[in-house]
Amino acid sequence: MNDALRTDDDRVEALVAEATDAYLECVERGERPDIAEFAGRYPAIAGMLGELLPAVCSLHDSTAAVSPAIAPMAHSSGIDGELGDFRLQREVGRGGMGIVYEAVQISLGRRVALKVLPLAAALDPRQLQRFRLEAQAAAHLHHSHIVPIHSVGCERGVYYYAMQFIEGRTLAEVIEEQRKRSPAADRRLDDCSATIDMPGANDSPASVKAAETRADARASAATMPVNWDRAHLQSAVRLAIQAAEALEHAHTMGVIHRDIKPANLLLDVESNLYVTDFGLARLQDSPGVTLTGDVAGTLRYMSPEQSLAQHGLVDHRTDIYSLGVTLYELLTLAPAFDAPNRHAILRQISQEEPIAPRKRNPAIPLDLETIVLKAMAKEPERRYATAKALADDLRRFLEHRPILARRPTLLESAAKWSRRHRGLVAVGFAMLMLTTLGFALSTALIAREQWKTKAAYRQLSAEQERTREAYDAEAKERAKAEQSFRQARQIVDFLFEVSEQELADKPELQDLRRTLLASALDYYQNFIEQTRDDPSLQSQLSASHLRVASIMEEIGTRADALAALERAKQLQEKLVRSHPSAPEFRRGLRTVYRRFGALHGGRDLFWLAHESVQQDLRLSPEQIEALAQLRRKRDETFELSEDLSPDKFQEKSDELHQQEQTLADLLTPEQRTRLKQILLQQRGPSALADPDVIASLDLSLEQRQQIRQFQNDAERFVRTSFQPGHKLRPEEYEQVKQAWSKTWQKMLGVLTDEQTARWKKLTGEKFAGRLPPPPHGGPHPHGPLPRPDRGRD
Amino acid sequence: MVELKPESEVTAALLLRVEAGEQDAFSQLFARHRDWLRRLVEVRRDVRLAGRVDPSDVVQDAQLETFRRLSEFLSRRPMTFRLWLRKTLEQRLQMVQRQHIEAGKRSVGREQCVGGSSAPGQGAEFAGSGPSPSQQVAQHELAGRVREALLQLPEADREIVLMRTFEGLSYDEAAYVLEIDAAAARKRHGRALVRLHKLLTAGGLTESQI
Repeated sequence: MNDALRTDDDRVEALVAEATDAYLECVERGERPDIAEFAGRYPAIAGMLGELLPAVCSLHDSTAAVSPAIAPMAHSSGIDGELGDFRLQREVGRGGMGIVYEAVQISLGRRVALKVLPLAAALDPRQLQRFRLEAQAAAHLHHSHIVPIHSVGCERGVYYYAMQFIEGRTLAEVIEEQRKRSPAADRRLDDCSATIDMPGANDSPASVKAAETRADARASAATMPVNWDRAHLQSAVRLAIQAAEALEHAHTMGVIHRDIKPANLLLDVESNLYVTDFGLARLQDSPGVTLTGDVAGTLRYMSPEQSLAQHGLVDHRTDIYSLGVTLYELLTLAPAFDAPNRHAILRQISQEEPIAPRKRNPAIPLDLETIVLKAMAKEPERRYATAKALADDLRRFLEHRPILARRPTLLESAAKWSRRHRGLVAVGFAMLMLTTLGFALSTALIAREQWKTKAAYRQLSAEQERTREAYDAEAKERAKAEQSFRQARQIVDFLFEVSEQELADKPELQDLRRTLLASALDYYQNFIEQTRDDPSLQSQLSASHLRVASIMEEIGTRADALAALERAKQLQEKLVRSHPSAPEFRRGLRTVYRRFGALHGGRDLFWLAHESVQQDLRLSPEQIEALAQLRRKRDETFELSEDLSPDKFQEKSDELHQQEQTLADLLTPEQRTRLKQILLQQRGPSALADPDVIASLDLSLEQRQQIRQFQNDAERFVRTSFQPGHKLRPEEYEQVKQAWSKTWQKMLGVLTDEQTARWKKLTGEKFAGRLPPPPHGGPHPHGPLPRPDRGRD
Repeated sequence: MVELKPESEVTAALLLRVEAGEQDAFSQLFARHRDWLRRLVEVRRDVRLAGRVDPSDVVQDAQLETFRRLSEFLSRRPMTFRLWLRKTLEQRLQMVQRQHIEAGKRSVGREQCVGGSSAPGQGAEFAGSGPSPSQQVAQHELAGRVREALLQLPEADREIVLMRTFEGLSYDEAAYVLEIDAAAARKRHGRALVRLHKLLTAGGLTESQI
């Protein structure tokens, strides 16, 4: 019985909490349901609620105007019934910026949509002033795709805004409805007989309301299957054109919308589009006003400059961006940015590229995707300069004419890449290089900003002039940024060459050199990632593969190196075929072949040509002669034939294998062992990180970690004294040398006696001679790298 | 850990700017919460010290403290920004109150200002919401009685009611502060409301206590 009682109490408590929460929710939305009536919904506790809820309200109210969590929205008090010249009929919508009523303007007897703003008390006078100015400016916009504003006013402390009542639905509702009706299986790609208009045409009218139209939508769903045929895409594009034209008009009148999103685009029964809510977005950032309702729904369409609250940088292009995001969603039925919380959405907006529309909906043509992505570029200057330019390009798409928008160039991709990775803590010089790249780009960006400011003043000048200026400026900016990009690439190439040439013959600096190479490798691999599909950059791409192969030979596995070489080979062969008269591509291909050779005993062959090695190995004159012959043979193998067929390459490849075998047979087992010892000595401390050496010495995990630590410490020291572009002074060189030799001692100190003995056996007696740089340290196949604009022809 | 509701988007945007090193952004961020924090002090301070502890001082104190520990918060983000503010404020408030109690045990114990010092003449609390003066008075009387009833509740019950109604915290946030889970917070809220109701009716809802 006790249990039963407790259960009863529990039930009552749960119910009271539920009812109170529900009531508090209403209150926070700005509603104040009648308590007696509300309590009636919970008959079991109605009496208690009648007494408790006033107390709860009292507690709540004492904070209503101050709590940042609770939006001081217009309370229903004061605006039920009549407001000035308007008789409110029913609530048709509720958004972040107020409540929309269907109302009748009594004096004129006309039907209007009345938007009532949050309680004036929540706004400071300056903001109210701003609202009035903007609303008045918006009231002066006359355009067939902008909802006309009849009047703006204030009654009993309540600000409102009377607009033409549009019968129809918001684009947000249309998208939502299509989303619900389009499980992937239902997409009828081939159904051309389906209704081609954007849905909405057949639906019963209603303004910005959701509930009623949902039912209509369901009813008409059968007649309006979602399909991705051309007509569907075209009607989406037509809507976007209408919106862009409306924005163009507003922008030339000096009005920026700031909150373009599907919910602010109304479709009437004939699928005409109207932009609504001009001039309201400004209010949203006032401290007293916290948005209620679908906050994420507003956030998703914010431009990066808005999301970072950089108010100074927000200009008309924020609308172009938001329209781009809206079109993205209309075409893919998925939000461009859909992180689950605000913080993550903000991060996505400012840092992440959206998933390509065509990945979400393959039916979207490439040109259309290009237009969408250009409109929603992160940097305002990469977007269309004007809404008209966007509308024009969309029209070109509709008319099957070539569009003006270009896919992001390599340079732009590189800029995106560096932006995304800006926060990463860098290791080694490559990151230093990227910082340089970032710096060069930001210099270019600042220059662009300055241009933008100037341009802003001329915003209202003749359209022609505007377009021309935008064009000139864009061309100039692109040239400038490409130059920055070239500089960055040159610096990384320089880094690579320093590693290969300056450092290669300094045995004490081999580890530093490998660090540099690893950093360069990062860069080249990213370069490859970004440029894979850019036809104008295939030669640079090939060179990058080649460098990756070289680096892999040094610090990676033979298989990785061969794979990179294979990719370089294919690209290079293609280049030679398409540019038969260009000698640099031919030279490049030969270099690729040589690298293959190097991986097939070529390196040994190279070292063995060196006198000090020959002496150390005590090669006989016959052996030396045989090696010289082998080298000549190898050079012949690399004579570039006109025939670039895979068969031919296979033939050469077989030759290489054969030569590798010949080389192995030529040396005695002792000589082979000694050669390995010498090469291991050349590697210095980093040999202790080599997988083979680790296995032979049987290094424990702790030992490896310790060794790694010493190495890191030393590298850090070296990095501070070594700067690219400046040669080490003798005393600096001496310091670095000492640091490495100390590190080397420390690392060897980690080994157990037994391991030390094994190490000694692996490396053998100290090699007395001085070795030449590694075989692939020669000049790069392309000499100085071709500039991005070469090879485009 | 309890999954907390995300920051408001303005707060999140400001935090991004703070992270980017804009000191001005922190002032803005704090300013957004200043009034809320002041109210928290008004409700949270020991009623016996109501006349001695100036909410503005405590809030300013908390501002300094949060500014000092900002980078630590940003690197860990153990809770939402406003919960962190709230927690810091609470610590500062307790410190200040301890000092006062230590400093003057003499008279504090005798003061019984149950309605809170802010009881009379604090109509400003309700200003702007539009009701008539007589309504305001009635509401004010009710507020006084509610406050008294609250003081009679066990602390755990009082906390959850205040968090939900006065502070506007979500169940998740309240649960985080109380170190329980959200379901338990909801349960506790129900129980506390029932108790609050009992106290209110026992005191006689029609009878003014002021």
